[in-house]
Amino acid sequence: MSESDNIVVMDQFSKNIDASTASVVHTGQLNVDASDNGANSKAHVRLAEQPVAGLLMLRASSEEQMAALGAALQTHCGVALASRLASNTSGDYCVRWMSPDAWLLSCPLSDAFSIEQKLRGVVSGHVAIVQISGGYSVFELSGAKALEVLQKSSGYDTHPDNFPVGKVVNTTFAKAQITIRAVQTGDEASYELIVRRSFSDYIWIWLQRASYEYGLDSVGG
Amino acid sequence: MTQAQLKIQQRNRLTTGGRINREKPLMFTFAGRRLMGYEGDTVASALLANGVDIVGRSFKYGRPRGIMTAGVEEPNAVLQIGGTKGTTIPNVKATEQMLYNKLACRPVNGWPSAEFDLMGVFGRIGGELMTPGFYYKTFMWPKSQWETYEKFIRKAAGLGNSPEVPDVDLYDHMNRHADVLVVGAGPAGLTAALSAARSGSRVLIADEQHEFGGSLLFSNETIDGKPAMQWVMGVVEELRANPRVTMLDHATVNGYHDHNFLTISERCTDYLGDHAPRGKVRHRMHKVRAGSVVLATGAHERPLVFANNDIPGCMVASSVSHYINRFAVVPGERLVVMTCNDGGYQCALDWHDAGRTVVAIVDSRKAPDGTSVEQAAERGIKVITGSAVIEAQGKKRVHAALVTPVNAAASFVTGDCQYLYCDTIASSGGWSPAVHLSCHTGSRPVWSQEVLGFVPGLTTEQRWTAGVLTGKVSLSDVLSDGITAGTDAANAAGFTGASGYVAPSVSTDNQVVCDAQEMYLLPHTKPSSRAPKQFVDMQNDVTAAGIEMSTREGFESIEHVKRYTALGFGTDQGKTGNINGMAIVAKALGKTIEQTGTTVFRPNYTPVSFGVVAGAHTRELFDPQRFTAMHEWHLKAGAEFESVGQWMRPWYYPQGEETMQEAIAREQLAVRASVGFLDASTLGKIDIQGKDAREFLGRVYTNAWAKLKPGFCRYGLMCGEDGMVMDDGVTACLAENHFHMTTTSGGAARVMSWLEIYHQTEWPEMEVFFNSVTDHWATIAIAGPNARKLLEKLTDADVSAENFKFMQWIDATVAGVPARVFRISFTGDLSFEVNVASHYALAVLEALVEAGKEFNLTPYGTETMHVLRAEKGFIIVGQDTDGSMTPHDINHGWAVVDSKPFSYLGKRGMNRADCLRSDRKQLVGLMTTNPQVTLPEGAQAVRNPNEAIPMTMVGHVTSSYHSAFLGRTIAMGVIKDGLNRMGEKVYFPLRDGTTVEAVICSTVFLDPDGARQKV
Amino acid sequence: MFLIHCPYCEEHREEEEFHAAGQAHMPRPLDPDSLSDEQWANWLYYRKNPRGEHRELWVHAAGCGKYFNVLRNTQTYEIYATYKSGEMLEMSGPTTVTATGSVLNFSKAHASSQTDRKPGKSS
Repeated sequence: MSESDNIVVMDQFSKNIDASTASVVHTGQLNVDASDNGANSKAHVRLAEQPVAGLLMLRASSEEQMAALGAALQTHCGVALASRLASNTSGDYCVRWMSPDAWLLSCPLSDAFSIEQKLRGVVSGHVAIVQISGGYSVFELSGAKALEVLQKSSGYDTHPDNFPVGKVVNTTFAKAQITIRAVQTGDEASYELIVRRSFSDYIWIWLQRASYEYGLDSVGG
Repeated sequence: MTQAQLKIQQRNRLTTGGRINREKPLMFTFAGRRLMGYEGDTVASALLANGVDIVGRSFKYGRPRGIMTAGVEEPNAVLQIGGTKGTTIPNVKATEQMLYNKLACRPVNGWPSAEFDLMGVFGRIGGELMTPGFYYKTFMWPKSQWETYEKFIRKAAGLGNSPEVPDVDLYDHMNRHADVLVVGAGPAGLTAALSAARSGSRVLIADEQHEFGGSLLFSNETIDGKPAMQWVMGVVEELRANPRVTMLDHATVNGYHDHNFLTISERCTDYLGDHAPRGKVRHRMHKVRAGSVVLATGAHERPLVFANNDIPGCMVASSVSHYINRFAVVPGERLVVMTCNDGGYQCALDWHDAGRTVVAIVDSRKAPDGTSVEQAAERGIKVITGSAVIEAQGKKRVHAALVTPVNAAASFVTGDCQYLYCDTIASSGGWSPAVHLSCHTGSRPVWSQEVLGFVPGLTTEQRWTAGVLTGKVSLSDVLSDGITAGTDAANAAGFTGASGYVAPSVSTDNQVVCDAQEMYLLPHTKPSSRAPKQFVDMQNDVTAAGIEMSTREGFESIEHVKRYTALGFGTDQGKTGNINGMAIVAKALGKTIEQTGTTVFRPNYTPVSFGVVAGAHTRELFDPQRFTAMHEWHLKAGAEFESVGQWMRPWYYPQGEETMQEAIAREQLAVRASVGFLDASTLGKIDIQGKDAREFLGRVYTNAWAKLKPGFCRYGLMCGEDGMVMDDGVTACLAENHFHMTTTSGGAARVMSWLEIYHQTEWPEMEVFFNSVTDHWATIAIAGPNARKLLEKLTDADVSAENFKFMQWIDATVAGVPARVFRISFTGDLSFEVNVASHYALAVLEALVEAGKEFNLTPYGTETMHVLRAEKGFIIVGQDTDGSMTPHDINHGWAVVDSKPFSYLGKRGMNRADCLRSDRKQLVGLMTTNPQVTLPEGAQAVRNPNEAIPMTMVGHVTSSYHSAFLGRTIAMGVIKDGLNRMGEKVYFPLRDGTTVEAVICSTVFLDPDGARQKV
Repeated sequence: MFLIHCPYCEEHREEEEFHAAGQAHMPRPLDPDSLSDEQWANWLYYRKNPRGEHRELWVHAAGCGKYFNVLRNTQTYEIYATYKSGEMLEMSGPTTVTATGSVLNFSKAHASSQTDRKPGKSS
């Protein structure tokens, strides 16, 4: 435990247990098997569960604190603080705008503590950094029909006109909430879906159902 | 029957022409009869091709009814379609349903059959039995008998059967966004879509038909020198090639909601078969948000109202052309046309050109002239002017039309009848623009005397209208109107580039040179009340006489007349009858239609399936189910689950053949005797950081937080501004400016919003951030006398009684995983809540279970948790409270500190005079005199069991269980003035007539000194 | 289904992303303890229910999580403007309805930051 600003920073990483291989999806598959869709021999949608990532929620609301946080991020992760509805990526690091005073930083799980410490070392005052690595699961939705699957699931306009590569949006997804980032658009479209961990099964089954008519290839789950 | 015989059976089918594929014959059955049609047919066109006259029986009178129109306005041809219990759909319009091979359909009404109908006999014998207001007048009294009447009426007059087994098909929703949404792919819609698309906007165009083209599907006109449909194909091709254009056919735009949000119901595979091909979605709801909307919904032709105008063979004029030109079906041999406008002539020309006999065109106008009249004359068709068909005659099919001369206004008969022998009477009363969608957002349609119909009114939406919907008649006007609307709509959506689209030329445009006559109800030699029935709304059997009667009975508002007579209440929503009905009301009241006004339309424009409304939100996807990180373990352990909000929590863990009662008794005793564990991950958890965090807690909790030191936890109660308990939980001070708050499982989101709304709108100057960590931390509660021994096996941390006291927390490595351990208790026994990051939870749990074997470590579920906490008198917010209880009411005054400097949330509310009454309901323990009787939760308490009914109720039971450890039942409840009545008896009269006696006592049934949890 | 402009995300979003949170500009009294029961009840329970223009507090629940104000018409369901919590918006003139191609225009409004905000005084 280390303390600065009278805040606890806890190293939550376990060297004894490999969390990266465990699936967040517990319950069985959809009652129709989307990977065995006779109507489409070729899978036009791919769905993959990503290994557990280190996730830090960064909070700051004053210009001054944001600047300090941005500088620290640049130094330690090589990414700038993302502007409204945007993301910045560099190697293993990706920072996503979540709200005018919140950003979600992803990093390797084993780095989360040291990054938090480093950021804490530079910024102080009215800021907050919270590790939420266990709070979310990350899915990758890709393929020629990935956009259609998004359209079935969310009322947000995910057409490339409105949702270009790098854009991040918090929105509704089926009857849950989600963070979507456009990783690639076009025929080989790819999207990052960040889901509250407890909703993972619901979203996973929903995605299978929505992909059914297009043919689905899924990894994990 | 052979295919050749079946082919011959299509006696009304022309050998050439039409947009059908004669190479693809399709077999189908109607009421068990085998018939044949072709690909491209609707069920209606196939039935007419086979000379099927009767497709149903009328609702009230049981009169035979035939196909009257060719579109969604059809009131009569409403069928039950589908071959199996899982695929059957009631109330499908034969005019809307495309034919597929092996389609099975039957009439929805007519009992025992459409050919012989019991209600028909009833209707004839009863005569005027079923007058307007029939239901209100007759069957509502006596009320007790309604169920008996209803059964008979529904069986006789009902509209189909609902499926009895789960639907085998998939349905879903799709969200769409468009710069320009074009509704309708007729001539105006197509040019609107094309001009919008050429400007670069994202365009969505939807049409309810099998093919794009709208009225051009059955038009004889040429566009740019080509047959109209060839021009349509060219436009469709260009639209299809544009990746920014989405085209939906079989797709009815059914709802127009606020801010240009429209719903489209697409019948994706209904034209292919009884159920969707494997992997395909049967119906899809498109939820469209559009920048601009262009309505090009066209118009419905009005039939004229005359006596016996419901006999099969009476049709709407344009539908006759529709059947001839699109489907190569002439629905009869001898035609009489009744019209008051030029448009009505076209069907006679088409009929004649198809080689069948046009007996006469009867025109109510004295001296019609112009192209249409000339074309009729060229073909030698007899035109009887200044006259009207006043009555049809025939039983199961028209066999004659009664024609008389009429006065100039066509309001009364001026001469003798002549009989025109015919089997078909096509009538045209003009066109009613399909204003339905334009009304959905609250815009009232406006009467246009020029159009003789209602046209769309002003709107607050970014909406354009085009074509026949606006009252335009000539094709060239319609085409250029679409271009203007499409261009303007795209402009408004931000696409200002000119489309450069010039309206195509129309070479054989029908010029209307003779004004139409305003005409709805044709006269008769007798008044409406004595003439044979003149039907206005076929589906609901509303007659002109009925409407006139309702006005005589005092119904003057069109909305009242509608409800009294049921005008427009059918599945067709009165698309053919409404305007005629309003005209009759207006005339009866001596007003104009403009003065009478119109009823307005609501979504949906046409009926939609329940499947498409539900979409994919069914079965396991009906509502999100949330699982904890340990769910897999619970599944393997055979847990029964309970829904807590959206969470699925282990309820109890039955072993072998155990009943629930046996399982929870075992779980309770195991915890009290040794140690058990509960998955407590669903508790809401909020990380709170900032220099004002502590002050914030003091404002939202009722108790004091100023002195809570790092390393310690405290129970807190949260109240609404009204002073009523809203949530509770334990909050830990992690560091001077850092707290970990827990909330109830169901209250997590509410509490988070509560903190945010006060921070954002009331106290934005406070430096504090809230972050939900509910899903991040998985929580295992270990409880029981051996809890410490078990924990010690898994950690090197000092968890001794001396160094880790009750209401403290520590960081510790548990089973090799960094954990935050809280020494708090919801059971009253020694207890630790171990929090680890969720991705390690399963590993930690497995290590715990292994280490716990020697202590008989027992998993327990929410049911045992409830009993254990009740033994200690711990409340559950939402079970023991109901939003009307202050902390004092639930005897939690110890958690209220009014001396805090800030007037915390709830303080003022709970100090209102009414909240300070001593006789409020207060939470107390209840011990039944018979220790084995369990009070039902919710049971009402009385002080005097012998009081006469209605008894004075003084409270109710909030929690009640059988405690295995105590060997008796225990309960909590709220009783008026209960805290001052300890030891008094109260009584609970139950539904079964028995009365349970109980004594008011403390809510703490076990270990009042807390010795067990402080070891 | 409304289409609502979130003043923080600076985008129009679907209504299902939002929750309504009651009448706007109802600051919590600074000293509740000094109020009579009646005064307290007036603040706590009584709300306007106008036919026409109305100001409401909404939250972008599924989006950025921020609370903001909505000036809308309860009769036509038009939303005239949305503005951040802590700001005030004044109408510059009467609402006008002009039908050009059946589009409705409404009067322009201007935002002004509430600078004299006192601690404990709400938006």
